[in-house]
Amino acid sequence: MDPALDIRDLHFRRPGGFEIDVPELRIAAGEQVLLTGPSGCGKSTLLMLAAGLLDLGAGSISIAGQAISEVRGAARDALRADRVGMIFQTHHLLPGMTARENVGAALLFGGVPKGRHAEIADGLLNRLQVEPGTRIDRLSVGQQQRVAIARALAGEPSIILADEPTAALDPEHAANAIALLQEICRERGAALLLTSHDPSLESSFERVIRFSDLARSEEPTS
Amino acid sequence: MTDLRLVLKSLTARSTSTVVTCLLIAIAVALLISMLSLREAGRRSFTRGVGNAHLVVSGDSSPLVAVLNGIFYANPPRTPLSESKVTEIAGSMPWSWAIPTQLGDSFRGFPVIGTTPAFLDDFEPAMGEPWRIRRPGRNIEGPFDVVLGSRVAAATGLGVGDRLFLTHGMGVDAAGGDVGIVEMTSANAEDDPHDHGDHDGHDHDGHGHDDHGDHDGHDHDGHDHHDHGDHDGHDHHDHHGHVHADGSPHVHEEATFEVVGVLEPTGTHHDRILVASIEGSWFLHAIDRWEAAGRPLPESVDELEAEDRLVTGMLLRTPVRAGRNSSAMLQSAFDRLRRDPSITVASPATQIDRLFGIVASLDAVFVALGIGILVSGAISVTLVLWNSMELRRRQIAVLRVLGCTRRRVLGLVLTESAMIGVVGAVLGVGFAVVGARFAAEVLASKTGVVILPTIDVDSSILIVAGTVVLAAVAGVAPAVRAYRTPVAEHLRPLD
Ligand SMILES: Nc1ncnc2c1ncn2[C@@H]1O[C@H](COP(=O)(O)OP(=O)(O)O)[C@@H](O)[C@H]1O
Ligand SMILES: [Mg+2]
Repeated sequence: MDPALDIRDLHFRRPGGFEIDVPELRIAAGEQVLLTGPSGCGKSTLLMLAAGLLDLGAGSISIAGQAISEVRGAARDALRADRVGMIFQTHHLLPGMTARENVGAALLFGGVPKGRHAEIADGLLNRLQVEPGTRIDRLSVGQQQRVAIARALAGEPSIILADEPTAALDPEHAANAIALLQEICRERGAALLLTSHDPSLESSFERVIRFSDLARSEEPTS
Repeated sequence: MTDLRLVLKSLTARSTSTVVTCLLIAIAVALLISMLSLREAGRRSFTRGVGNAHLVVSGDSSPLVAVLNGIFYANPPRTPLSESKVTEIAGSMPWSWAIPTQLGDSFRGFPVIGTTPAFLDDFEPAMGEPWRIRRPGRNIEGPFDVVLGSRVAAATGLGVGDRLFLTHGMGVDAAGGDVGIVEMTSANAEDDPHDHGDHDGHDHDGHGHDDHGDHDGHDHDGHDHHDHGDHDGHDHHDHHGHVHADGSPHVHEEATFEVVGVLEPTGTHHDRILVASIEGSWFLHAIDRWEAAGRPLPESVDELEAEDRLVTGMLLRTPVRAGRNSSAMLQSAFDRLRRDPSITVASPATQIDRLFGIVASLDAVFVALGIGILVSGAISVTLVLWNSMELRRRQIAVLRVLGCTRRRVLGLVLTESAMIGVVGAVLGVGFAVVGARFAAEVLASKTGVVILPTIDVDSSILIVAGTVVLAAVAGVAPAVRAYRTPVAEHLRPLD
């Protein structure tokens, strides 16, 4: 089976001068990885690159065997819609809409037939114990984060890219949220790449990568 | 979840600016549609109101005035025509018909046309649609017969058998508050001797029929002796205290007219007239003239002199026969009449074209105004969306993360602006329909000009389509801004 994420010889340079070099990073299908590093080291930038939201300078990135770095425009957007789910520190839900609509929005751009959208959304939300018909502004922060998780998983992605998803939560809620995210990723067969500047999460992951190791390393990390 | 829902959510999220821009566009659309529709409807209405008259003759100074007075009852012409002139014109050509009209009296602000029975028999108030007299009822015959137009009957509540006094002079418009200067009496009034103090000209509007049998058109003294007890005939017109000291308008109590018929609605301004016998009109005028001269007043129409027997206009129709060139005949009749310097002859069709030529330049101002408002509406769509893009960059970035293409983002914003155009345009059509109906009602009640409050469908479709396109174009700049929204920058946590 193709790896969920396969990065080779990546080189990226921001106009401001910030640079990332990743010789190799491979995450197997269904594998869960924690990427740690201090703020500003480039974790978020790497996730954006992996999702095809930034153009890399050199190298290649593949998601589930498809080279997202080789395609552009609509094809790249379609690949992201079908294969990648993203979660952020801020939930970034669409305001004024229900939980169901927010999850459904993720399906709007992928290949899932329209008739199944509500069913998929409700299934995920019920699993995460959020009432699908509730408007997101009526939900607690923790519930909103769960809607964001459901939205990331709705399109049955190969990998979830979670960028500091628990930074806004207190430690107890954070631990629960991580556990839930790991559990549901396992259930749905999605790999997980989660970033954090908080080393306390390391115990929850079987594989932990320090950003500094990744960037500096000349040899494979695994 | 659909794209449309995303767009609608975005619109309702900024409901105030959405409503304001929609209203701005709606007003512009309503203005444009009503201008274009009312112009056409107005012209149709004027053309229709000419009926089957081919020519108008009067003593007016200009042909346009002759048509406005002679057919649209605007004002009584100042210079009347003598009866001999009327006879001369009527005999000058093999007219299909020639009908004298005498304008100058009124009843509660409605114009009274003194004419011959031919007016109801031969003149058609709308081409191909002759008058129809409601049953029971008949055409005018005797000198004091009067037939009511449908709007007059509806407004006054009068019907066949009722009696009324006419006012010499056009009276004051209903809106002026002086309606009721002219009294009508109903035979029923005589039955109530206690009717004294509250007689105000409105309380007798019932359809009382004369059950006394003593009406001969002159003797109605009985009614008023009841009410006032001081009525002594002709030397005062202070009927129920409603006539103004300056003496105008002038109520003629000397002649009571009897309603002999009520007309069916024609959908023209002719519904606002009372059709009286021309002799009766002459009689009213004679009373004034003779009184001023200090002569004893006439007792019957037979005593009237040539100076009394004047008309203010004539309606003429040339014969129309299949296979004959009637327009050539009309032209030659027109040319012949025009050689007579004492009269003004006018072709209503030509004059209405002229009138609308004058009005057209005014229309252009309103159309320009409408386009101006529409363009400013479009500009405000651009500004509102442009500013909202600033606030929605994060949301656009989220959609991109979910796999939305740049082009689809562009489409969403364009849909949004086009939607404002659609809502505004539809609202505008609604405003125009309601507004046109209202304008038509006001116009009909104030001037009697009946326009059908129909919206011109072709121009409306064009305007609506144009508005939607314009609104969509207004969304191009904001849409491009959305298209260019960089994703990564806008997903950083809010701090
Ligand atoms: N949109 C941006 N424009 C310019 N520089 C940026 C932008 N986003 C991040 N950076 C810079 O790139 C570097 C890496 O940032 P980031 O990937 O957000 O780090 P992390 O997520 O590890 O905190 C930092 O120096 C940051 O200042
Ligand atoms: Mg970060």
